[in-house]
Amino acid sequence: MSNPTTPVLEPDVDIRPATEQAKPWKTVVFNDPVNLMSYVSYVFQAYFGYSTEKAHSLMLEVHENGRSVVATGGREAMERDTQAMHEYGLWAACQPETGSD
Amino acid sequence: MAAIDARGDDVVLKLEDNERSLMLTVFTDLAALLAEDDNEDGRPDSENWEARLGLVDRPRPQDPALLRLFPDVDPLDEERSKEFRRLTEFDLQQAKAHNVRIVLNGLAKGPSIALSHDEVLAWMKGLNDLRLVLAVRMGIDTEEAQEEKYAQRDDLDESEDLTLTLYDFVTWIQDRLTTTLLSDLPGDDDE
Repeated sequence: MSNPTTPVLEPDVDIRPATEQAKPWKTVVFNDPVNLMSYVSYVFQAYFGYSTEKAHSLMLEVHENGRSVVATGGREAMERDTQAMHEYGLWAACQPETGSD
Repeated sequence: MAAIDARGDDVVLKLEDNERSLMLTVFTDLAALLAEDDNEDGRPDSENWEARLGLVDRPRPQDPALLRLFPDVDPLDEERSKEFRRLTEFDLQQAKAHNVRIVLNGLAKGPSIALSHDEVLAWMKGLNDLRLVLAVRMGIDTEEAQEEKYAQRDDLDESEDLTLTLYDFVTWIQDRLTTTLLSDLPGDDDE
């Protein structure tokens, strides 16, 4: 039972407005001269579970436009995806969705 | 000449002695590079619980090769990149070092190296990291710089020419291993 006279330790909680929590984030993959087209396609299929066609077209977008948004969602999920891309050696970033893509 | 074949569920990589000893050298160097920013008090990584828990800041790498292996989570947001590096870089470094260990273990097996699916994946990632480092060392940071390097091939000094030959060799292995795994993915059943 709690005793109201005991001082209560306030948990250190990161409070953000609900709108910010809901704000979508994106995982962007950038082009570089090292990553092989076959390897990038493989990563998009194996990690994201994308079809051969979708992985191929995203890979071409990276190659031709210099970048491609490969996933969107909550910040934590996009940070996880970016970290995974870094483990594969792809050059990726997690950024807030600005509507410009 | 190196060769890659499928044998049952395994992939078998055959390397000449000189190819294997060269790979051992460069992957040992990569392992050392990955271990470079280890903690100063000599504890093994497994006991470095402050780093594991993301309690200590990790400096942004000065070496451009290390920065390419451990990029900012968002080049446009310095503060968030710093926090992300503190929370995740240790794990990323461990994962990359683990891949390199699997490659070194494979190379120690002898001229004929049988790799399981998971080992092939670790090799692909390890080879990719090695190529990223070699590319930074050769100044290949754009596709134009890459084309230029190949166009000047006859004029390169001996050490740079050797690095480019090594780069081509590991590119070939990585591409062949990737093709092998791509053909195992469900999306390719009807091809």
